[in-house]
Amino acid sequence: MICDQALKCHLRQAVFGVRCSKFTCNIMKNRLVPTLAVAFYLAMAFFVTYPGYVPFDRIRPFVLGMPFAMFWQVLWIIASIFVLTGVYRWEKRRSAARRSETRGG
Amino acid sequence: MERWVVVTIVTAGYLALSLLVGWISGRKASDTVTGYVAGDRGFGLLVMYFVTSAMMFSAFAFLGTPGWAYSRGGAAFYVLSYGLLGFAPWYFLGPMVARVGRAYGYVTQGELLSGRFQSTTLSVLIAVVSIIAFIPYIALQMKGAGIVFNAVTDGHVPIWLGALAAYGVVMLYVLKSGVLGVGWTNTFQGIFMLVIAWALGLWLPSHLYGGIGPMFERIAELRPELLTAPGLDASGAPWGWGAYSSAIIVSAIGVTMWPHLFMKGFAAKDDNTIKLTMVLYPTFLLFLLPLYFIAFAGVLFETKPPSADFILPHMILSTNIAPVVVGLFCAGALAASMSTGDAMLHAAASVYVQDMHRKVFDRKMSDHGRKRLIQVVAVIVGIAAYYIAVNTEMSLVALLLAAYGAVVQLAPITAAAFFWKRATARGAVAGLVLGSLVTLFLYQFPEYRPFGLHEGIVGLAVNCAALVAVSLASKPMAVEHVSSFLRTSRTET
Repeated sequence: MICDQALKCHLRQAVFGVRCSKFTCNIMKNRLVPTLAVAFYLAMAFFVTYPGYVPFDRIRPFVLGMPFAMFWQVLWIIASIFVLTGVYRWEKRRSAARRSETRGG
Repeated sequence: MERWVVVTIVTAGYLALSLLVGWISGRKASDTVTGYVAGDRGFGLLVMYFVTSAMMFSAFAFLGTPGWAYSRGGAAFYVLSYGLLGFAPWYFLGPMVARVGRAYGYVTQGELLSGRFQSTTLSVLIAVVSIIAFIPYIALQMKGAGIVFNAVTDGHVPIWLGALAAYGVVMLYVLKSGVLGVGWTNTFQGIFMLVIAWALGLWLPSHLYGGIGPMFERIAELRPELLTAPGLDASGAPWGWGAYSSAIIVSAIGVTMWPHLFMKGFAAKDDNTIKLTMVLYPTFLLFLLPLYFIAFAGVLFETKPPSADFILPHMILSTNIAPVVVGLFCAGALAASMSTGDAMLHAAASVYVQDMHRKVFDRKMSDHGRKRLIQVVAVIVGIAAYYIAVNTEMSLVALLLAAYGAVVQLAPITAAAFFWKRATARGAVAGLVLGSLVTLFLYQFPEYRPFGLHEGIVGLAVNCAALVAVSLASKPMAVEHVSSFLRTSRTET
């Protein structure tokens, strides 16, 4: 086994039928959360410009008094706060785990 | 008492408070370049938050965003999109910038890039581009302050005097306290602007239409074309999706490349401060919403302002509001102008001395001598911008946009500095020069733009191609230098 994340590797093989490589393992273990955050912003870039914005670029329904096209922008702003909070907390936990590892070892 | 006297007193009170905050905030700074330009790398979360966001929130945001939403409708939504997309990468890049800054003693963007690429040419190019971009921008901010002051006092305070009063205060606290003065006044001015914007943004729609919902219902009946993107262009015809989308992408790539924003990465206390600032930063975009409400409140207003940018002062002056509130509004507009203008003034002087003067004219300058010179240059830049603001009638926007085009072109080089080992000085210079020239050319001759795309996008594509091609064709840089730079940027502290 290249990867020490045995469970995730097996899951990956079960779901996608792809075996774990060193590269994918590294992503799963160390970069998964930041990668998801980058994916979120790429998705946002798609959904606030052409053509992703088009289906949501409408006046009705009004939400909180705002036309939907404007509310759509607000929604991404609020989602962004949650995404970066998630990344921040994940990084905190990871560096705390690393510190205790080095201290113990 | 006459209205304009009350307005002047309230505004003068605000200016006095700004001066007080700016004056006392610098008393703990060390008498060094790092103290003056990067606040001894000691900015905490509160100041970082307002420094980052209040700088975005310039006179352009306070008057320009309502002006856009008023005249062009949904086109103005692009500010919310690029504001968010543009700052997200800073969560990852900001700490890297701060780490190499601490390790190598950098306080400007030019120092970082010329340090990574070991190139004086690059440093001078960046300094020239930054200063060409800054001076008209500062002049615009000054003019904005003067015009608002003039309008709300019914012409009793001339434009030159209003601009002089606001920027005299700025000059004093920038000279005395450097970046700490900028940081703490931005915090004070930022809070002040937010309170004013929310108060007006909720009050105007409910006073005129009985609420935000009813207001949008009315607009949906009478001017539905204003409520969706991409809205209208400057002439009032429907705006294209290509132009709208590429404007978002270019602005998002370029916004953190502004030297006065980039430099604040060096002022942060630690990595966590930058990261938390970016986590919280989107809340500031929510604070921009009332400016949109104000603008849309103007759409069905019975009288028209002299120009779209004047929709906010126009409504305030014609709704028979208490003079104290008009004064507070005027102070809010000055706060928006000053919180951007002060950072630019300070950055322009720092960039000139650190990236150009020290590298070209006087290589042996002492730290203390450089700090003094930065203060002298700040005065010169301030006087030059003031002269332009008061004396020229020509539109500065063209010069500004041209220079901004070049600022955006710093993005690929910055990315390469941190993520591509093989990038070389020649590649960086070639990318910057070619990208800027292409942008400038397409700005002047819009008919050559492919698919109506923003000129900056084409410039960025040419920039990246040149950066890669020339880097690969030139001799690789010393491996030890590049690896130690990259290692430093990735080592958590």
